Amino acid sequence: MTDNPRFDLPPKAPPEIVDARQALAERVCRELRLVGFPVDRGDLTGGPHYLPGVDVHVTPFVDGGVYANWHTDAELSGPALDLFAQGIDYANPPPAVRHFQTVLNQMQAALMAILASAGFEVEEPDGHAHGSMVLVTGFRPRSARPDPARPGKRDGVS
Amino acid sequence: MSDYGFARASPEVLAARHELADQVIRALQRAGLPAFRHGAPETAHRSGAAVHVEPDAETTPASAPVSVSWRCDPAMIEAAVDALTAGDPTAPIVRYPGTIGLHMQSALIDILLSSGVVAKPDNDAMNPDHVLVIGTMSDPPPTPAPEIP
Repeated sequence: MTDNPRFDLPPKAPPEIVDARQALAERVCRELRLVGFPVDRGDLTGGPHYLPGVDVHVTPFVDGGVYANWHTDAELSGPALDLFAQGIDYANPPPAVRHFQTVLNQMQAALMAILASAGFEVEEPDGHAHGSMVLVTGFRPRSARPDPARPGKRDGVS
Repeated sequence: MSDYGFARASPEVLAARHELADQVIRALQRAGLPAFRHGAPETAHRSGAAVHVEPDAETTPASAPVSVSWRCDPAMIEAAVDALTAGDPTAPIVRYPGTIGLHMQSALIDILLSSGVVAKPDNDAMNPDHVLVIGTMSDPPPTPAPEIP
């Protein structure tokens, strides 16, 4: 283990696990781009950049995985997060916060449903994911489903 | 009148529909979604929410002043068309863009409703994944309230 106990870092996953997560993350990105979403791999390019659309990232810890998040335009998230930071009444949030939360809930449901119908195993992450929306745990290749990312290599068609 | 005998909407009605379409595009873009006007040459290959303005004067229960549909990446559509032309209409890829359209339909409707735009699913069997946009919540109601003396 390379963990430094003085900083109390969570234990890292073995490199082969992290490599498998990277491959899964790339597959998620490819699928979501085909669906028509803007996709950012913020963790590979010094992010998160909070660009509108999907952010896909991999965490290297044992309790980690492949996560997908939706980002709205800053025009929507900015005022909502400012109000949130000032403190809100959770039972009756201001309209800007309520709308922001509605968008995130809807996009979480859409991402989970779309990734599931593409053959990914998805779940709602627990609190350790720092508010991430979707945890992707695997991919079950469907022999009957051609991979549109590789046209001409359709399974079952010779 | 168009060449086919359908009455076109008047310029005033069309202007109001275009304004509604712009409002829909802004609401979806603020939510982080790519959104653009359907039918413009520069958006022909874009993916995301395609927003269509109805040019006909009459709108039926299966149409609306403005409608929205989700458009997948051209590579996805191509793969579906390839499977169809290869004679395999039962291939899962053929149905996949429609499946995505239905998942996006409920997200689009709820995001629009939350932004103050009145939207509902299309009842038309031809386009079950389309979203019909009726107006905005600040529009006057279609029938005037009875006058109170």
